[in-house]
This record gives sequence, structure tokens and C-alpha cells, in this order.
Amino acid sequence: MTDHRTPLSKVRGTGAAREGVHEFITHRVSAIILALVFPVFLYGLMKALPGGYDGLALWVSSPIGAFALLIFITAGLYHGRIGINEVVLDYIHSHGLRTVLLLLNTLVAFGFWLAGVLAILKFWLGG
Amino acid sequence: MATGWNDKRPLSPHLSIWKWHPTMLSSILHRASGIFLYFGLLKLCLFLGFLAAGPEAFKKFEPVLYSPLGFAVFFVVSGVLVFHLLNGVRHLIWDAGKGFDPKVANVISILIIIAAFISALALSAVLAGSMQ
Repeated sequence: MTDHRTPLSKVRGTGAAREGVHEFITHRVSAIILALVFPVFLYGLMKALPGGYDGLALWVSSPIGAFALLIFITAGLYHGRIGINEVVLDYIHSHGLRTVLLLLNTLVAFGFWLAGVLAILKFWLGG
Repeated sequence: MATGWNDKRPLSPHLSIWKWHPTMLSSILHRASGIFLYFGLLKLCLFLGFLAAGPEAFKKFEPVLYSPLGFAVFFVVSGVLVFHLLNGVRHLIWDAGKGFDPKVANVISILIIIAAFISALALSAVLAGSMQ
């Protein structure tokens, strides 16, 4: 098949790069995971909240509580990062600011995710 | 492109002259609630960090958590979360190519907002009941 694209258009990196669908699909997959884990998360939280520190600590150190929380913050921040990226891409037209915000979004999502995971693991493994 | 929008020609009809309808409202709320929940999730991670730091660190945080303000935050966050969840499920149905009839879509938009409000009330009532 003859390729009609110029060398310039190939190296520019604009236009369909055949990978935009990746975020579309993972956004929806993480949404389905969140919808499934939400009832478990909510039930655990509602039961733990009245118990103060002890109640909450018991929740986070229980296998189901820790597992639900790990899935919730992992799928949640993954889903949220894609969503915020979409908002930035929609409204921020300046190339420099957009790049900074996209990078910042990824760093914030990953940093807070790591902090949350370490906190949960401390309870779960430390007892 | 890199310097922003400087085309003087008129744009397509925008928010200021667009007639508001329920699906437009729920679409905007979906994006707004998504941004809100992202920051809520960051707070949850921070909260888990406080919890992991031990009972002493948590004690400083406890009066705020169990104050009327903390309760109001629970009401708002739970309502926003249920809205985003229900509207998200509807988005998945839309992705499957179903539910595009304008009249039905408008009615469902209103129902989702009402359901989110009622869920927030119910969850807050249950929480208040178990706090006693």
C-alpha cells in the first residue's frame, strides 16, 4: 500500500497516534472496578467511622477493609488522573502550561497513591 | 496554536446563550463532581496517613472529623460520590449505544440528581444514628 503521509507529518506527533483508545478503555475499566468496590468501601467506612481511632484502625487492618481500600484508592486515583488529564487537555491551550499540569497531575496522583498504600500496608502487615 | 485562541470569527453557541436542559446540567455536574472527588481521594490518602501515624497524631485531627463541619463534609461528599457513580453507570450505558432518547435522558438526569440527594440524606441519617 502506498503511504501518502509526508515525513514531516510522521515525526510531528500530531494526529491519531493509535493509542488514544488506551485511556478511553482504561478509564471505563477503572470505572467498573470502582462501581463494584464502592458498596464494600462504603459499608466498611460507615461501620468504622463511629468507632473513632480504634474503629478505623480495625477496619484498615482487616483483610476485607484493607483490600477494599487498596482497590478503591488505586482504581480511584488511576481513574481520576485520566479524568483530570482530560479536563486539562480540554481547557488549557498553552502548550507549556498544559505539559506542566499533565506532569504535575501524574506526580500528585502517584505520590498520594503511594502514601495511601503505605499507610494501609502498615496497618495490614504491622497489625 | 501554542499561543491560545485569537481567531476573531464567531464561535458556535456557548454557555451564555445556550438554553439549559437537564442533560446539559448533569454533563457539567459529572465533570465538576469528578474534579471534586479527585481532591476528595487525595484527602482520603492523607487521612490514611494520619491514621497510620498513630493515635496521638489522629487525636489532633479527631475534633474536626467528628464536628458538625466533618458531618457536613460527609453529607456533601457522599451525595457527590453517589451522583458521579449513577451518572457514570449511565455513561457506560451510553457507551453501549443505548439511552439516547432526549426525553428519557432528561428525565433520568433529574432522577439521578434526586437519587444522589436522597442517598446523601439517608447515609448521613444512618451515620448520625450509629454515632449515638
